[in-house]
Amino acid sequence: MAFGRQDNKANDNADMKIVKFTTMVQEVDHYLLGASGRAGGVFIFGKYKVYYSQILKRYNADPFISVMENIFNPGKGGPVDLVDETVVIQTFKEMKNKQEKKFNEYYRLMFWLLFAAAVNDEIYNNELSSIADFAYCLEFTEKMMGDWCVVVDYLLSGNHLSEMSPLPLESPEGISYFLHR
Amino acid sequence: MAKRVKVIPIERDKNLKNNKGRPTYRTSKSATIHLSEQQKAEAVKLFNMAKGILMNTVLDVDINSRRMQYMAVHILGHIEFDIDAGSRPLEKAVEKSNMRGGIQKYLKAISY
Repeated sequence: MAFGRQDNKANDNADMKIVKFTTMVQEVDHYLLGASGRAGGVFIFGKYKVYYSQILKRYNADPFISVMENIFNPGKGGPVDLVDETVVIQTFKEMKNKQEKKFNEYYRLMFWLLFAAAVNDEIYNNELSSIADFAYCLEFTEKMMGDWCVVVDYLLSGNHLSEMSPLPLESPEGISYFLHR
Repeated sequence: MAKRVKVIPIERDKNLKNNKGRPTYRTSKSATIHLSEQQKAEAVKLFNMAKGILMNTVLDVDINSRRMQYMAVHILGHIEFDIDAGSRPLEKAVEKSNMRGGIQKYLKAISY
């Protein structure tokens, strides 16, 4: 009986950690979406989403990655989540018209890719090189990459991200995107 | 208007399976990790195209976009390219950070 109670307690603790993690991811994404001027809601990267979705799907045996997959691809199935073609075309047009928003979407994508790599060692070991290639394609600099990692580390140290966060950011892009300055 | 891009055809290979065990695509001119100069040139061409697709700079292509998405992901995910000059410093920037194994730090932080 005592073992049963201990098992239940351990399960409750694990559930609580998952709940806290879920809340943290949702709050951070809401904050980041604020930077792009959107009110939050649907997670659309257009075609970029395919790459991100594939990584989450490949490593979703990890409960924390599974949480991220559920948040960013709610209710989607199949081997690779593909957004509807009309949505992609719409996103093309939208992004072409709003350069700033386009960059914010890049920043957001790279942030969640690095976050996933920090959460799961397999992603870090197997995908970091391709994430760096992707960052290079998205015109990230070394300073920016360092800043994005600083924020990931800050959050995973149990801190909350806000405009007042004492983050030692070096790139103007990082300061603008994460601290809204 | 974006330039029209000639797409190198891809084919479905029944023998090639993705990690879910489903048949997946391969490029008809495949690139390997050990590349000759000619292959490298081919791979860089493929890479630039995949990059264009994912960065939305290629808007007008000769193949349906869903297939292009598969191909772009496949190329970026499975072929190594000689672009270290650009991406290696970014990878090093990540390695220098304390990010690795961050979940353990997080679990410790929230348990207090």
